[in-house]
Amino acid sequence: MERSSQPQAGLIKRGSRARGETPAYSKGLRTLSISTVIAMAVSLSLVFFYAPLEAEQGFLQKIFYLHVPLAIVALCGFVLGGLLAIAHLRTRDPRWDYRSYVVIHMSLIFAVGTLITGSIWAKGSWGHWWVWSEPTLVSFLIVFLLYATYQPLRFAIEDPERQARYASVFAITAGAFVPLNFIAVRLSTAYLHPRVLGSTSNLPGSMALTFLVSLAAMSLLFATLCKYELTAKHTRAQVRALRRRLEGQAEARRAPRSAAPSLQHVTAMTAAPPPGGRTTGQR
Amino acid sequence: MTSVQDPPPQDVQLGGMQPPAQGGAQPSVEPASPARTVRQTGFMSTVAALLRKELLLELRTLESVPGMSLFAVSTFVVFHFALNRNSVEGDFAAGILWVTLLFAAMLGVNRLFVADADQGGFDAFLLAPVDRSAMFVAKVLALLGYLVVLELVAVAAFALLLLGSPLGPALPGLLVTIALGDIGVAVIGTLVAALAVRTRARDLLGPLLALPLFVPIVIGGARATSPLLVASHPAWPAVRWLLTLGLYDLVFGLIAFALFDFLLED
Amino acid sequence: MIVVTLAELPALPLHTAGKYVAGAYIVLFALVLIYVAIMAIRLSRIERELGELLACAREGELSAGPGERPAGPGERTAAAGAGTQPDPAVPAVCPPGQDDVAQPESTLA
Repeated sequence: MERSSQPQAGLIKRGSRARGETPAYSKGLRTLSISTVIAMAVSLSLVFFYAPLEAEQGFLQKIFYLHVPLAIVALCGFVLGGLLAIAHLRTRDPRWDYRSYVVIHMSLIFAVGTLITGSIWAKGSWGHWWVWSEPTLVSFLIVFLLYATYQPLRFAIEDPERQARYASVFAITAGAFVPLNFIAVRLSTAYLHPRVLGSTSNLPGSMALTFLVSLAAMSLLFATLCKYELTAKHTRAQVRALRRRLEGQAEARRAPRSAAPSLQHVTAMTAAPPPGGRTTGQR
Repeated sequence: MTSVQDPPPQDVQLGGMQPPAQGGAQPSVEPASPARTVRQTGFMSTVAALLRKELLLELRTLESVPGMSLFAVSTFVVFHFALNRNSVEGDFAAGILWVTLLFAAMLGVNRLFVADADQGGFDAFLLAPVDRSAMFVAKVLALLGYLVVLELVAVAAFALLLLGSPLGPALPGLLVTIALGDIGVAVIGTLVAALAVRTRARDLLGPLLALPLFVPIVIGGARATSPLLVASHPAWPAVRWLLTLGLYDLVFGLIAFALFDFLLED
Repeated sequence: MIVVTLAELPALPLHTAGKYVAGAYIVLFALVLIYVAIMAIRLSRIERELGELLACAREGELSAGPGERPAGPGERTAAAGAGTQPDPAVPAVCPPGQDDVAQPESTLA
């Protein structure tokens, strides 16, 4: 049995990349999680004990420190998914597609969070669960509708290599669409109403500090959750590869149709004897 | 349709070019670096050949454009009953016009690559030594052609059936806006059609992918045309919306042109 | 005096805005906790599979010692509802896992 197929459970945290075969996605996960917890705790304390009450909206404005970082992180995540997809198309390394998939998935969840918190904020401010005059919310709705088709698109293509390629094309298109969409929607509402739910400019110093800390905490949370996801899928793929090896490869069992990247290439890399210290990707 | 495809597609496609492989040596068009020169001068002629094929196909089978036009007119009738109005102006008019154009365009987009996917046109094209992005340009131009014909019918029908204000004075501004919007619809429609055509749920995924991508075009187009469609003195559309449309067309045109190659290989 | 000051301090308007702020933060908390729960399910599934594989590998080693094919691992496949036996001519026979047969990765996978 090749040494590379052993799940390196004990070694993962210390960086099994020393062996040069499999990427250990969980490297640095512990540090990241702890920093996320600390950052979140600090940001929540700042929000509730340090930031002053805003004059117009009062206590309700505290949602700002939750909603806007969620929005910014989700948007950057979508654009990052597009950038990772560009890397995939250029290098044809399926690991980039894997990362792109996870990042887009996580950004979609953060986008849902943005929509829900924005809706709550709208209800508190205006009494309606949805307001068309808030361009951020409207843009997010459109972006959500677009990225919600990412998974069905992947699921509709069976061949894994083509699935990854088409998904990357979609991710790049959609990633370019996000900023343009924002500009367009902002233009369309700018001449109707002033910003309803407050903007990020002209913040007094203490609020700005709180906002930045919240943004940092949210970004760390995003990174941690993405790393979790990458590690979990990769571990699952390794277990599957191990099972196939132990079955003696009696049947070439084809994985059922799925929307997620199949990671067959990843486990193939795990399975093949390494040529000797091949450099793996980051993480 | 098979009668059109019976002669090997290569002959039709490469109508303007020399056949790819002739026995032993390459026929030298130019003494210096023949292959490179052929490829460079071949792009526009490839596009022309492909475009000719598309338009010929459409003329012989008439499967997209009449359907799109008919759909637009029917949609106007439906809108009359749905909104319970005899005539519309301003925002309403712009909205109805753009929504109808978009959905009619989706019909054409859905059909755009179906013949290629089902009858091996992709494979034949991939074998030819041409720049693959030429297919993208040709399809965009073909779709633009269909949209222009669609709009001739749809705008006329709209002015007849539903529009409450005179069309004449508004026409120049309207045409410019629609032209800019058309380019965007054609670019995005072609990209989405290529994405969706070789998946399992092609008829469903096409509109699902395209509609959010069309939203900025609707924003620009509707906001630009709505002040034109009022009975009082219609102004020229605001430059801001035309700039939005133009920028969107440009960015997505470049992106789609760059990405199209990756969709074709197999 | 103190009583008057206390009475005039702006109280947090918890009965109006507090609901919404709390609701928004609870949404975030709930999302993260749902994710933790999904991860927990996956983790237990991986642990179970690894346990099965480990037992199977051990059994494969034990019976490869006497040089004979391992006797039917069928008795061991308690958890594998769909475990069909692969070709017995192959020396290492471990029950195929359910997850190779069934589950499309439809959750957060």
